[in-house]
Amino acid sequence: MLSVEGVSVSFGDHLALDDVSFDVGDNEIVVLLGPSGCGKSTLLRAIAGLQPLDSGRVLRHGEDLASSAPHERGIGMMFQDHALFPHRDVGQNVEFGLRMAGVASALRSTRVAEILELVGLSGFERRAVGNLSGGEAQRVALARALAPEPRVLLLDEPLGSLDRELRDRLVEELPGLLREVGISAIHVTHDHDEAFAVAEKLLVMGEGRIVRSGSPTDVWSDPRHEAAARFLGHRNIVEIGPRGEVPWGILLSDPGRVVILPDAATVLSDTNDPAVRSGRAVEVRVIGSRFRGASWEVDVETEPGGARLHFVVPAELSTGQRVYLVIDPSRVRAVS
Amino acid sequence: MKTATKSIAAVVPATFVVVFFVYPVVNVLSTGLAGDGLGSLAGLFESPRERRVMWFTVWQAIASTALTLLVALPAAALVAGLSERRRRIVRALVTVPFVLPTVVVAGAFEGVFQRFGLMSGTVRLHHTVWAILLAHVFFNYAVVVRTVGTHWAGLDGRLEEQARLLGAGRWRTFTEVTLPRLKPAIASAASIVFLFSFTSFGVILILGGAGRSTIETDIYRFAVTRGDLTTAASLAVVQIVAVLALISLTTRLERQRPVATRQPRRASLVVGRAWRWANVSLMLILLGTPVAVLVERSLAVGEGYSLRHYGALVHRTRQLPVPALVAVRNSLVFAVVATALAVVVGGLASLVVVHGRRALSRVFDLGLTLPLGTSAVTIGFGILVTLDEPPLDLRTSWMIIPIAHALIGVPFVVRTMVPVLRSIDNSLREAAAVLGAAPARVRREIDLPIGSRGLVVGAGFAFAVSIGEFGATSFLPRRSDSITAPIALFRLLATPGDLLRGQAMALAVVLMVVVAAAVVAIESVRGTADGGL
Repeated sequence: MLSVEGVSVSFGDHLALDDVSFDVGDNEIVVLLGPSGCGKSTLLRAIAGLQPLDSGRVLRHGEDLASSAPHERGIGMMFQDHALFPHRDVGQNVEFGLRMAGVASALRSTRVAEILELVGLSGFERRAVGNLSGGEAQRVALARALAPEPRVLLLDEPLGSLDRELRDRLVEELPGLLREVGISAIHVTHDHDEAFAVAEKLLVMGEGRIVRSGSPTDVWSDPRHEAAARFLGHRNIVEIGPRGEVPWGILLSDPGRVVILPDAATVLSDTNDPAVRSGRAVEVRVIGSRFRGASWEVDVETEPGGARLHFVVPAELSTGQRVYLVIDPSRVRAVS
Repeated sequence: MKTATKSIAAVVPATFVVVFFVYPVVNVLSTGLAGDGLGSLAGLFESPRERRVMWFTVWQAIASTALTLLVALPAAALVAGLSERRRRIVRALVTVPFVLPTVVVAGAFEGVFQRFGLMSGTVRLHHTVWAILLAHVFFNYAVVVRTVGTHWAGLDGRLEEQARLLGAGRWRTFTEVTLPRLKPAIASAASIVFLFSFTSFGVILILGGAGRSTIETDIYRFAVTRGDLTTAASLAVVQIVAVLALISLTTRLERQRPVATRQPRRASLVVGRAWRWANVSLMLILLGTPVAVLVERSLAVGEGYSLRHYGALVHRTRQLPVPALVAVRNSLVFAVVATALAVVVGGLASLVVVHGRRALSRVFDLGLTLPLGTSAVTIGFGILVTLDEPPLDLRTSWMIIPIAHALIGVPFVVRTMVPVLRSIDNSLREAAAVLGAAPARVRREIDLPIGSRGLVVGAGFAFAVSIGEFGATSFLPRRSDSITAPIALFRLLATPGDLLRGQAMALAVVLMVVVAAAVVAIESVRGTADGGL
């Protein structure tokens, strides 16, 4: 459907996008996840034609879009902070794209009513955009982007300005809505929870490059790239020494940096456990413990001042307690 | 923008300013410096009379600025502490004096002196420097209150609260936290007041009397009264150089002026009730008295009151070639034409300033502000000596008046439009583009409707400026039937006699009402977003 091939953009000396390539399939929701300043918004703007490319191509169904201006691309975009037109009411905002396309007035109002109903704002046509709540404004922005029936929708931090609760609700709604419309979408965010909830394909960006891509589960459980791992919220990134002096009872064929997934640890309640005796278990001291409802988050260290790790465990451990842990080697991934 | 539309947007304003401003002013410069130009220029500085005039021009401007700041800064503090709605009302009220025609203000002060017996005797204000200073304070009060007050209101009040919690007293908090943040706004307001006082014309001509001249009024005296164009041109050269120096200083200060960060929290100004009332009373007395007395004088006939002076406005008098009401009609027609011109020229120029290439944008920004700073008399004098021969012989055309007025109105349009256009979030334009609007369509759908509020405000100012314009116009009406209301008012005021004075007051009231209506219109569309002036 949409292909980005070797796109690079620089601002002065700063390389904002460095040879970025990826594809978006028909009706596929792709999420670009990365810290602010990693180039993800620039990438969206490049796809929309708002940012000239230094090199590379953007293709739609194999057709190069280089010669199309933004208004000729048929690509929809939802802006950060929505960019609703303050001098027009909700209905006029939503029908803007239809008006630009020369759709007749009667047809426009039918379509506006339909699309407002789709986003759950029936009857909002004559409301002033200044009086909308954050969630309503977000829906109007979505309706406006969808109304001209673009083939691709770009969403730039669409939920960024909303409070937590509203955001969680819309994160659940958004994928369903996009599937209902049947549209390919590229969704940009810096929030990994939002990314996991929305993505069919996840692209993790760092410093102008795509460092890891795949399904959300694959990417999370095997980030491969240290920056990606950090950005996905992994905290257990440690250096494994050569065989023989391995802490944590982890056996790796090659020493190097690894990420230990937070669910990798099993707490041994019995000190007579064979794992303890065989030396596969490691003794740790709990230095922090937080109740998370269904589980507990704990921080542990092998010795004072030694490496600290972070795990999610099913039962309570209290601070100061000494316990034995076994690490599941299949939940330990090498990163570069 | 397509290249064609882009170049029209740039060419129209550029041509207008070059033909009607740059060319005439350069012509004045070359007349002033031609032949024995440098000699006559040097002669100016050697003549004790002219040296006195120049010195008086400077010191009265300094005194006016100092007095205005002294009186208006407390009022700015008061305005900053008001709610948004009340602030708008006060701002509109203080703006009325600012846009009142200079001739009307001069007339009002004459009325006050007459009413309270200050024309002669021990406390004589008539034809003294105090009359001039008072009128300048009256005029420029709004500049300080609006610029500083608006800026002040935009300051984050939490900083003051923090300072108080850290142990600073009220006064220390003001001097150490508030004042430093206000400095750029105060400096900017002060430089504008100084510039206005420096180039003040009508007030000095009428209230100062024969003994008091500034560079501005001397240009008029030499050119119009004595017909000595060379000396007038030399004086104009001095005036232009001084004003250019002032403007470059002002723009430097403007650039330093930080954008007020608009916080939802109001600046917390804990001021005493007595202080607040003292301030409001001063504001009412200073701004209200001249206006009230003007109305009273216009109605006073003998011992009683009647509308006789207003009735007289429809009749011809010896002093005027046409009835005064015809002059008012002329002014209205000219103001409409001038406003239309200023809106087209200023609107296009604003688009160039905001969307044009950086160098072009800078040239336009500066070039279109110059007429605002240049003295009106220089502009009028320039047009008088320049556009008097083919291909551009406009001396006998009435169009010359609205053109000159538009020239003075354009900076107002640009200065109100540009901040509005700049404040449009660029993502709105991008959103429109992504939704299928071509660049020209984006201008029409986004820039124009959102900018139109600024355009209306600018148009209102241009209208008010044109209605009251006196300095440039005093050089221009070569045809008796195109006399404007301020010129008619000046002639009536200049002639002694109670009856004519009453008529003058009535005419001044009519002008004031027209201008006040324009200001009310401006403030009602202005909304909350607001720059300096």
